[in-house]
Amino acid sequence: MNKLHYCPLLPILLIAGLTGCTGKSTRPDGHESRKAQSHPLIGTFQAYRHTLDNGLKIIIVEDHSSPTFAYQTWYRVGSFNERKGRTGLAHLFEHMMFKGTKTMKEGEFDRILEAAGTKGLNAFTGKDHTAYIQELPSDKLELIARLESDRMVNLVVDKKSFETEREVVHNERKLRTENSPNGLMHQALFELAFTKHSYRWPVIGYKQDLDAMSAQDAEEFYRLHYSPNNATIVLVGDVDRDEVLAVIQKYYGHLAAQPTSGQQKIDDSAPVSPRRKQLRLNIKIDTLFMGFRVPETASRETASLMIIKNLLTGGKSSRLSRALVDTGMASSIAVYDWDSREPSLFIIRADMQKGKRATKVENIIIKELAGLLKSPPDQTELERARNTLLLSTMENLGSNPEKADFIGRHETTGGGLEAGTLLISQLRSVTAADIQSALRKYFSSSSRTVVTGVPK
Amino acid sequence: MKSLRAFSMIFLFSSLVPATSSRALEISFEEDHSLPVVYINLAVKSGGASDPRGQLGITNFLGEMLMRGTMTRDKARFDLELDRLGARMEADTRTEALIMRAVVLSENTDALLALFTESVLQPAFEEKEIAKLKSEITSAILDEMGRDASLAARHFMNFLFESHPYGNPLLGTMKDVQSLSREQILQHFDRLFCDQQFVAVGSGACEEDKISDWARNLASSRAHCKELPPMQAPKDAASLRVQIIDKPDRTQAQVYGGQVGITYNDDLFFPLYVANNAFGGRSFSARMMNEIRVKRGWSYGAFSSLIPGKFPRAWFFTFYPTSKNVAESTSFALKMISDVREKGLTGEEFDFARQSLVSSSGFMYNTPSKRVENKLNERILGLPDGFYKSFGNKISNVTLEDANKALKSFLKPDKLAISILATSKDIKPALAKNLGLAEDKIIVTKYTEEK
Repeated sequence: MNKLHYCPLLPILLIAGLTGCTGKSTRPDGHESRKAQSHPLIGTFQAYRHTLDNGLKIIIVEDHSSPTFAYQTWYRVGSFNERKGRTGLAHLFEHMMFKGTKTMKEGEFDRILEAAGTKGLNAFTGKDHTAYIQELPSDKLELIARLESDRMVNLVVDKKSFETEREVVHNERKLRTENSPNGLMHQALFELAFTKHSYRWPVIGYKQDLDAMSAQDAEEFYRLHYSPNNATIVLVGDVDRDEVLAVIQKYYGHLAAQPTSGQQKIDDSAPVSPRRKQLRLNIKIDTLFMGFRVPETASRETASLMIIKNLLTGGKSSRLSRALVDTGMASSIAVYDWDSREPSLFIIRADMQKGKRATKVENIIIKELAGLLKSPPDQTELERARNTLLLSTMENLGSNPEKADFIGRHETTGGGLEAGTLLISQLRSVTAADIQSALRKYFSSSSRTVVTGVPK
Repeated sequence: MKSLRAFSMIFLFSSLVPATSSRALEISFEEDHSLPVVYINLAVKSGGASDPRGQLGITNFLGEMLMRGTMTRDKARFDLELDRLGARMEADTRTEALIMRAVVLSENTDALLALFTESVLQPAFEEKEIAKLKSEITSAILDEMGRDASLAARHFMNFLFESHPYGNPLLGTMKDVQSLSREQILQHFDRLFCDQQFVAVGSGACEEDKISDWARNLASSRAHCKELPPMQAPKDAASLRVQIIDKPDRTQAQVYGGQVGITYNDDLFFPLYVANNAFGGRSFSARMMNEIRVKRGWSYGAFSSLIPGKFPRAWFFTFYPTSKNVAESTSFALKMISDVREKGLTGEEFDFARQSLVSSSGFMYNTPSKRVENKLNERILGLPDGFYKSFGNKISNVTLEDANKALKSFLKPDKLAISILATSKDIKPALAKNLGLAEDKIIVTKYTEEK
């Protein structure tokens, strides 16, 4: 590893591979860099950003506390990019990415990486992103870059493999949705809240759509969405920035950018009157899901919404914990984290205590939201909400994969890493007035979507 | 044979620093100033397996009650103080330990330590809070009945261990939880929270001395108490047993099967650890995953695991096939187990598993949080210091012959306990036929039934 003595005030140069403190950055191959900059991440960590000529983005965070690193490839594609009749294709395709390529037989990708000591070899698909993740010993940088760049452009979609994998996805769907009360309720909530937008359907797709899919659909999806200009590679851990850029340039630099197919914005307005559905399920206690339409993660109001989340459910002293758990109505209450490129849902979920009814809890939640508007938090309550939020943020950044996840998520759905770190700093400046404004705008009781699960 | 080399881990941050103290309190704290957070765990070396008969769930109940008010502040004020500090406390009940976990923004460490002390030394155990917690835990047990994977795992452990305490459900049963009295909770508190039972382990942006002093002071305030009654090692059943946990309207089953396992100290442990990874590890190359998911698409996952304890605990496998495939896939899995016992692993399977395990062994201890968990396990299970760091070397010394011998002597396909959560009428006839059993030999248990 070729370590350089760095000029601390110009970290831009560091990722550009210069040995001197000059004002112009170059790439390791000697060409001018299109973009190179540094940004504080959190604690003592600094993130470095670079973009190749073909549009591939790279973000690097060095942490030499153990000889390992996380390598994550985030594609800006998810179920958002699917069309009706082919729901679930983004996720099914993610499974196909572990099959063979023009240069490697099926199964070889996993075997090579596992033999090299890779941990957490996995992938996941969301509404707006698909990520491929690994954690490796620090001497395996070149190996992972070679394998990931290969499957970015050389995948072979074999018909037999596609059919076996579709069966696996059917089983996964049974596990996560068909036989899961939570999965069914979550699906119903989005179907009810959205009428036109692709956020309406579940990431795992519908059974009939999975049945109707072909290997050709998967090939088409690959061609449209998998290219260097639609991806960000995030590396966190025991890596050297110069070496990373040289290796990435070697394996990805020659890949051509492709025209990618975005999705047209679909106007799917928030409900003007409550939408509700009751599901009779194999459960023993009532469960409630309540959704309110909130703006995309990159919105400047996200910090206020995160504080609202913690005022409601951020600790045992939060308003809904006291109103529902301490009073014996619910056994648990939570607001889900949300990250989305387009307006999505702020979801409140409550599990009732034995014999308590979801409809009653729904009314209490509405009353508490109205109470928050009428009696905004004082400084002490705001401080509590900020502190609990800050704590959970720190906890979620404890390891290399977690830091990489934070970066990848904000890059693909939240306006970039810089917006993600800005969001953390904004939490300190949210005022009671900001909270009231967000409450008025997004938490009208008439715009709620409610799904209740009750025992059969 | 391929040459193997564990990649050695060199840490810039200090290793866990053991600090000794009077009367066997064990303390370790790793300073890590990269983020402004401090993690503190105070464990007692007895868990759900110590629940007396008729009081199942009392250890978990006790852990929760410690955070529900003290002599000087009620639950509401306790909660407010925690949230004000940017802190959280949780009770993590395990079969062989109760771990009180706390995390705090580092600027508020002193205040959190004071609150932690208060919770352990001056718990109030108010009747009002006991009643509320009973209702919450009863609801949590009912809630689990809607979650197939968790429900199936609980029934399986209970079925495998029968009346042995390793089969105790950690949340308890509704009947036992409802009948717990304040006096029983106090007695259990005095049984478990004794100075010689404590282990304090943590990490984060705080000086090691501060945590050591805190733990010593806390432990010295609790009495030295009697040893708990000794537990016997569990035994395998005399023959294959099959249970269906009958739940209506299932389109998919949760299949669990297994037998009594081995301890970390057993000579067979490392050969079996490698063999288990070749057979049922979470790799797509492992035999079970390859045969059941990759080749046949029967299940999203198919794994086997070893759970070591102070005594031999469990070895089990699990997968989740569509109802129509339960009979075929279950009998296929049993045949795989018999085959691997009789014929062993191939050289290729073994070499691959061992190489992967050795190459990745550093990930067992590459972060402060993993090192904290390792230290907790070493202390709770009575393992030597650095036990988890020794995995790489120990695995690299295992041979194919060792692994196959271990499989032969350990696996007992004719004594397995099989537990399947499914809709009984949809699977029972075919299952009995495929397993070569009379239908009435398959025990059918209603999914709502408790131990």
